[in-house]
Amino acid sequence: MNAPSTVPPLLECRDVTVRFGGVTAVDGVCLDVSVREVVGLVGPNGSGKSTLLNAISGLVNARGEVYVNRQPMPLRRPGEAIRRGVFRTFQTPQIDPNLTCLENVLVASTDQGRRGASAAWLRRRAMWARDRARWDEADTALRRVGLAARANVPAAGLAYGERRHLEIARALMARPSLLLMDEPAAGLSSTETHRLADLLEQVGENTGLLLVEHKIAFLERLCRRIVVLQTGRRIAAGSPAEVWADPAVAAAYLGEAR
Amino acid sequence: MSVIDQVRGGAEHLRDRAAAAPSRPAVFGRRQWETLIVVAVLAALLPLVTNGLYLLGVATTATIYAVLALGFYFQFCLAGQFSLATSAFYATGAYTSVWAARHGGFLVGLVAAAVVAGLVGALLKLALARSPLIHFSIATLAFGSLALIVLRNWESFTGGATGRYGIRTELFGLSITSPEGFYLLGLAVLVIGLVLAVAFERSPARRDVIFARDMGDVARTTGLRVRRIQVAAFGIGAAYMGAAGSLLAHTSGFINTTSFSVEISLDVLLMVLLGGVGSLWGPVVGAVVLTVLPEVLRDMADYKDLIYAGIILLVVLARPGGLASLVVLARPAVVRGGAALAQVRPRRRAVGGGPMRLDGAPLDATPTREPKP
Amino acid sequence: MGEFASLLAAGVAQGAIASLIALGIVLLHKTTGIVNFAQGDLLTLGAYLGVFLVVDHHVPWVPAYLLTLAVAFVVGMLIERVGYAPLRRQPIITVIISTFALALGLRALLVVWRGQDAQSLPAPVGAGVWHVLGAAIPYQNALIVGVTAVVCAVLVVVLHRSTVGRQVRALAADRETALLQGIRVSRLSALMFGLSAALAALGGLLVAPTLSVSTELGFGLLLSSFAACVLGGFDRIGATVAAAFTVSVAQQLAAGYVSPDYVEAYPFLILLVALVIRPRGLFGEAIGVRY
Repeated sequence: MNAPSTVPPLLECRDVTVRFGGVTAVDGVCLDVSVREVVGLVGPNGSGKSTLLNAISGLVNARGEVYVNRQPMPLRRPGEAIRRGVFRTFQTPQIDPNLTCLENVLVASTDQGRRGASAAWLRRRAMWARDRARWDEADTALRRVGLAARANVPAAGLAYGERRHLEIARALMARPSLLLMDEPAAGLSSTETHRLADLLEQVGENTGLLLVEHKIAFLERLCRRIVVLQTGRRIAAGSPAEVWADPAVAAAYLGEAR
Repeated sequence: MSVIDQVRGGAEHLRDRAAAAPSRPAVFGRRQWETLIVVAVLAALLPLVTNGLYLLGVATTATIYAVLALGFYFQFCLAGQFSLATSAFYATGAYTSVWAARHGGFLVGLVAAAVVAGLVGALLKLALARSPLIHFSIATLAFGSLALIVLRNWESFTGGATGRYGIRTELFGLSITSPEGFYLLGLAVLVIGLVLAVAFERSPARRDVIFARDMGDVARTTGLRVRRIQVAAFGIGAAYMGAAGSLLAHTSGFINTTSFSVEISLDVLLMVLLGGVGSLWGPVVGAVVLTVLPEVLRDMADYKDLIYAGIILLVVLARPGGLASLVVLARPAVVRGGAALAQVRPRRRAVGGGPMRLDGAPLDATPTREPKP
Repeated sequence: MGEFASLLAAGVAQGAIASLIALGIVLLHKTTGIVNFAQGDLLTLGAYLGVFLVVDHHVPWVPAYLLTLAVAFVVGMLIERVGYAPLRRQPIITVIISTFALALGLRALLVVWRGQDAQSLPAPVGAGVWHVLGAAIPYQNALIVGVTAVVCAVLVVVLHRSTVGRQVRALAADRETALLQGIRVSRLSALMFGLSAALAALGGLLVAPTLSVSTELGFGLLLSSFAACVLGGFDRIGATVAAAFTVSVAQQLAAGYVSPDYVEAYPFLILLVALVIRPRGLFGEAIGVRY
């Protein structure tokens, strides 16, 4: 697999398989991410990267075993991953245009107390106290991604790059121990990509990151390790230098670029 | 501690932190409490302006429909569920209220109606929690019809085809029998319902339920307990409908199986669509319009359904936001997208979404007034 | 035995009608992803048109029936143009609402046209009955089942042998690929709307002689069909037809042996129980939105 690490593994995937009808999108993939480690996940189109992330976050039916902090996690349930501190962002930023930026971030607050109808009707004072704490945290998150000025703006009005950042702000709000990111730099200009790399470097100091990306410089800057998938199977893993030098990896990509 | 006191308490806290506080959720820009007070006071003056039996009767019906429409607002606009079981909750509430009021007066009846109907609604949604939208809508259609059949045959509870008549309305020892009394009773229940609705809108619960409605499984991955949220919202809506049923029973003095039909589900839908799906005032406006309209269209009673169908189609095709998107009603500080109907076009200004300024200028996002919770 | 046989016969006849409606719903859903809530009222339309032509204008029943089907077909296509084509980009909830509006409008139009009184359509095969196994089975029931069987067979043949049929199946299987293959999707959609409307109208013509024709006629049968669709999975024709028969027979038997008061309630009950047990329908097919 890779060089043995003394840091406990945060995420362990064993033999994860996803089938859609006749197609096997992910085929027996094994993958580890350690605490505060940044791992890149690459591969040609259709290699199953996003599907693997979906499997871990419970959005598709998957078989195999996934452990978070050594505890087994049941698959196929979208709420399980976040309960264990695993947060996912998506290729298309999932923001709700009917809410403001601040609200889009607030929904991911880990404080589940006093936010329902009963609190709204019977315990308003306590409700506000808790929510004020959430506003502070959400504001900090927005500030970190540079969206503090747009807090009360409807998210519908954001440009593409800003939506990405909003999603990341939501991810920060969720205080995950592991962040699964699906092409976070896609569609960003090189300046924006640099800024994003700066931000993720900071984030990576406290949080494990599993990054699906195509941008090589971006990956090389952030990732200590890279795992390569092709048609659902893991074909290589190692440091960025090792992986780019691997002939199997080159063949996979060359074969793709017809 | 009354709701108003708690509200004031919260407001003081906020004022203290006003200087240091960071960006505040945008709900505070809207003047919802003020609007509610103005509306309530104006509406309460109606009996002073007229004592016509007919007019007060229509007004009372309008309050009942407004409560019903508010319930549909919770189910449809907030929870995103298209339910055709309105008749079930409405009727259940009515009969429950009659039965319970015998033991404790109107208030007991009202609360019992809301609780029972709410529980029935919550259970229905819970049982079908994993059903996709269309399946659930079909199931509610079935449930709405089924409930009416069951109630019709449950003679001991509902009095069967004869129904219940001579229903008394007793509140704090007083017996209410005058049209003015019935109207004020209906208005009081409506105002309570609006207070609860505004309190809900001005809380974290609103963003949670909207996010859960719009984002489905993605919402679950952010940690929201989507099932719990939707069951609660659906149940709350059903409770409102039950309360409306209670009002119907007590203000009209009699109910039987002909008082309820599956068509009420469509009437309620029309009220909400007509009035606007973006805010809680929409259903109220729609309910008032739709109560007045049949009276105005009295000569064209045969064509009523046809006109209704035409209006729904028109609204759906042309302006999914309904009337409230054309009228600057609540003057919010933030443009609100028109519920589930507008979510497909995120890049443009929310289609048919919330109120706009009449002069076309974009609404300023920052609240200019000191916020009140 | 006699009672059982007659209940069974009634159930089978009703099942045939329900399966005609359900067929229309499923075909439409497979190709456009839409569930048409106006299907029931299209059945009522068929019945009313039959009364109008046969009873009021003494048109012989074969041309009258054919004309009714043609009119229904056109109405179906109109519904597609007015109620669905403009809403292609909207979320599914908008389409559902639009469907309901159209159903309500259709019902209202029928009331305006023919009034509220119940009408009746005489059976083309006369009012005679067969005596089988101690039960009196009307000729009309046999006609219903016979015609339904023929129609299903024809549909299967057309779907599998003709060009149009092949296009329909391609569209049902994979919309994007069908578009790439140059299949005229919007034309096919209109065709499917027309076809499902005609199927519903046929059901109306067949069932009208056995019941009194009122504006609520289609709606009651619609719920049974929905139960069948949900149970059969919205995508499987064979399973849906089988479910339609099962639900109708079960309904008749329950009404006869358990309690007649709840006769209309049984399909609802079956539907609700089925959905509680299997929220996505018995075959776990999720309803996809494909325009």
